[in-house]
Amino acid sequence: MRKLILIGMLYFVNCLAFAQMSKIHVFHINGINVTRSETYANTEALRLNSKVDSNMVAWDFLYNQTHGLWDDLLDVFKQKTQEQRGKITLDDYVAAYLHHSDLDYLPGSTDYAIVKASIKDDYLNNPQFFGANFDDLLLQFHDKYSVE
Amino acid sequence: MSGRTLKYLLITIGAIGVITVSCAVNKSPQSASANSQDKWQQQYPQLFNNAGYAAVESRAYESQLTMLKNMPESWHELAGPVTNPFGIRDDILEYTLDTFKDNPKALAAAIAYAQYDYWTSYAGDKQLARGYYQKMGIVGWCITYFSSFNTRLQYSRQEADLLRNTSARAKHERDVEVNYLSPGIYGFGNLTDKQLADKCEQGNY
Repeated sequence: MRKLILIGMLYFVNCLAFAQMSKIHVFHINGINVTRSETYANTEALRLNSKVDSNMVAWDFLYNQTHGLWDDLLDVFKQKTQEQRGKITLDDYVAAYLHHSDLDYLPGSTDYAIVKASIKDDYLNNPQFFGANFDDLLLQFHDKYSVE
Repeated sequence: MSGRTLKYLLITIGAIGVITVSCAVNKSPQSASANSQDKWQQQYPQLFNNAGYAAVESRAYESQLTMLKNMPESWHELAGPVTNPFGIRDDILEYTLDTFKDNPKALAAAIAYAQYDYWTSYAGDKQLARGYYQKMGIVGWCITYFSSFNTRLQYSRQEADLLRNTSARAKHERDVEVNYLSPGIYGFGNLTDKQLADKCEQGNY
């Protein structure tokens, strides 16, 4: 009987873990010169064509406004230029952290990997590396899908 | 004419005048709405026989009140004429009615779609606009469910063009998208096809 309860508990924990880990969020991001109604239609088309029908898959999109074809193209160009100039990668972030902490772990070493893994969340949660909109989007995502 | 007769005549004319003025002052929006509803009912009787009508009409009344309360004076001309009981610009409603005249269920969903899109534009409030836009997803799905994806796509494109049919309106739509909707996360969430279909069948959108 004790074995049965143990197996039952393990199964329950397993189910909980499965339910939490198998949630998939499919995000569509609208392209340039796309109206808000077309964005919905495009997401619907993606969903219909995927033939995936499960409540473990969430179908959403990130809506970014369009300013017209020319302005959107200009915006993409500016964004790409900015990315090349100013983007701080996770490795840049780790290097800055190691320097600040007086550590000299080499990239590829186990210690480096441990530090990288331990500060990855801080990097991802820091809006300044992802532009001004990132913080707002993160909050919206958390509002919609509360993290358990 | 005797003095007494003249006196009664003047009193009668005065009374008629008072009653006329009183009626004009107390003319309620409901009575105006009832008249315009009759006009639309005569023109499109098939719509008013649809079971989904009551829901779309009552939703319209509530949302119109909120919208009128929030809408800046400068938007009235952009919003255009709304003489129908659904709270959508008349030409957009006419296009919707003509497109789905033979499919009452798709028509009810399409009217709801046009309502949410139009109200997104003129809600005058960020939270309200985002709420209406979020609801467009399910009704769009319902149009597909009751007709086909191609019909839905064609309809939504034309409806979007009508919403932007002057340069001032196109600019207004861009402003709404920049100031109210963007950037934002919207969509179907994790509703299954069956759950979406149930919502469509029940008119729960």
